[in-house]
Amino acid sequence: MSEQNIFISGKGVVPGLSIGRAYIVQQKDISVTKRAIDETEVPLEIQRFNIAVEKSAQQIDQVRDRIGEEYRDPGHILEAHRMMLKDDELRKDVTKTIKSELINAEWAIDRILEKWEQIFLREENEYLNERLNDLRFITYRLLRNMSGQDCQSFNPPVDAIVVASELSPVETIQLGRNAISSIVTEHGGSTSHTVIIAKAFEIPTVVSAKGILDTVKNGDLILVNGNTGEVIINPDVMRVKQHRKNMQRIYAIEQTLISESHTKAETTDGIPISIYANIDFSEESAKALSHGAEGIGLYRTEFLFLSNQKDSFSEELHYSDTINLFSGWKSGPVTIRTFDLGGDKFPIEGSFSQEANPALGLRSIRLALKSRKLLKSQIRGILRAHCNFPDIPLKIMFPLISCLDELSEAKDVFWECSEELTAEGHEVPDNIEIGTMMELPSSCMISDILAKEADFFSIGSNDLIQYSLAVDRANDNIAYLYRPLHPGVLRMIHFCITEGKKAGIDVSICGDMATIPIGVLILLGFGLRIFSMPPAFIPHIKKLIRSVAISELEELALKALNMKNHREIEELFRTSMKNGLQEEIWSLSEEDEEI
Amino acid sequence: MPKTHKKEVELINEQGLHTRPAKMFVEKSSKFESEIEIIFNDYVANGKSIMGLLGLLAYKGCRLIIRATGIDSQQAVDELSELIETGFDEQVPKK
Repeated sequence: MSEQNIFISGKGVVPGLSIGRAYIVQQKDISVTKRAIDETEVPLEIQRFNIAVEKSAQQIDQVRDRIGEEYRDPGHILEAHRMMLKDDELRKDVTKTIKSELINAEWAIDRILEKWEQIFLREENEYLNERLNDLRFITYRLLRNMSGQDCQSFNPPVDAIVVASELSPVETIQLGRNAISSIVTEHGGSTSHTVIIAKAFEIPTVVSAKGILDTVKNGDLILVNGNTGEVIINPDVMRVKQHRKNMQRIYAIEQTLISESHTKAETTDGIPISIYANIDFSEESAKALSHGAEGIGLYRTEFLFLSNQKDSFSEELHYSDTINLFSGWKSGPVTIRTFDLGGDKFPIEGSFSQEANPALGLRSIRLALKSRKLLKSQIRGILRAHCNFPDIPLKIMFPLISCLDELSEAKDVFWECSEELTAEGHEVPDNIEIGTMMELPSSCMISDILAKEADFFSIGSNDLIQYSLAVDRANDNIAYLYRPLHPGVLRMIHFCITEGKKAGIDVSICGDMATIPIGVLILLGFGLRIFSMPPAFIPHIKKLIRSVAISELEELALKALNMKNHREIEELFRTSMKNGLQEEIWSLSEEDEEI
Repeated sequence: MPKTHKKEVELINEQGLHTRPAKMFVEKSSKFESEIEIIFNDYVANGKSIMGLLGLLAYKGCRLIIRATGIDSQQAVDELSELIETGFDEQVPKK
């Protein structure tokens, strides 16, 4: 009898749980031998090469034809592989090598692809592994076709868990079209083309599961957790039961979440909470609606600027983009943030491309106020578009406000635009609110002062945490210090919410904290009633909110304010909020990091 | 006498000249009769070869020269530089 409960831990790259029997896909090694030829054989070798190219391209086409149009990413990858196979340079190189060195086609292919490998390897680059993999996959296919052996066809049984050293995109598609339940590979990284395909097919996948091929036998029972990367071979009965139960629970939750995402988020004690969406492209407003968003809490306009650098001064660009945004929208407020870019990313007149410390430099609203023409064309474009949709409540906010003067100056620019447009005969609606992002410690601590000038606050927790803790969360050396639940951060946010409410203005949050369950609970306890987040999180967070009582959270949040560190706060909420349902949501939304 | 046109452009998309952008470039460049070259630092690549483009290892922010020679060289340079300057429609939102 096989050993039970062998744990292998890899990297979970496509989420989901599955259970099934191992189906091992073993790619046979192809050995290439050098053979000298004489000149009369040259045309034959070239022909053999050309036939192999055609055959390989055909095989890829067949796979391409069989996947639906909806799978865009897999389609692109296959088309790229096909293009690489038929590449002019490659063909010229191989043909030339056969001719000049009088060697067989296989050897020439091997030589030339090695040459390309050297080209890709000549300096460090981000996509090196993917490129080398792509090269290896097409070489393998070519050589295989030349050897007269067909490339493998696969016939995995239903619910099989495919185990392999590594899979090529073509193989993944061939396998993925069968009803397999999971993929586990010994090698491979999270950014490979194969992973993109597995994602498109929604097949739970674990890569870099070291040791799997040495331990697993065909037909072994395997449990896969694509979230954590955990794989268990030959699990005992209890584990199988537990795993099945988890699968059923997650399935049930997903189903309800989707069907319930359009119901309001109201706490058990009857307090309605507004849930808005963060979006990056105007087209996304439709997605926000379908996920149950009641408003747009943050439309970042940075992509619009970056993808249209030449035209970003043009009012028309902003006009048509805002029209696009409004046309896809139904009702509920729409919040647009003026551009939040640094001079390093977006060189404009008067900005410095070389600053010693760009995070603390001329960026965001500072850059906007320095380059008023740009800010004005954005605001004018937005306002003109709003004239066509006067019923949509429009909110405009400014990023990185650090003091009262900046907010007043930015507001002056807004009024200047509004007056100009009125003078030009436009009917600018008067229901527009002007607010500010609260993402600097300084502005949070003068919330009471800013609240007199702003119509609303939107807490940008990501920057607020980074600037208050002096931690760049992308820096691996110190990322552990990035703590959303740091008491210092919480006290600042608490002050901001309290002062905003005192002044009678709306306070909302649009940072990642609105997607972390404990964060949401604390903020609810602090009195926050508007949360904005990426659309994918909305169903989960709505569900969470529907299961809690504000009265209970207020008490906990107050306690949290007096705790010594983030661990104590986390512990407080974990122990107080525990019940079956909560745990489920906890684990679910922690896994679902799709931003 | 075939005409040569060229233009310098900046690569703005996140991924640089990675597989998909390179593929899109070749799809477009192959439609032109002109001979097309991409120059980056000291490397010159055949603009109709995906291998050549990938081999440039061009990353975000670097400047490339597109050079086309032939009867439709002006149009080729215009369309290809537009493709690069608009970031290959790469709409990959990051936080």
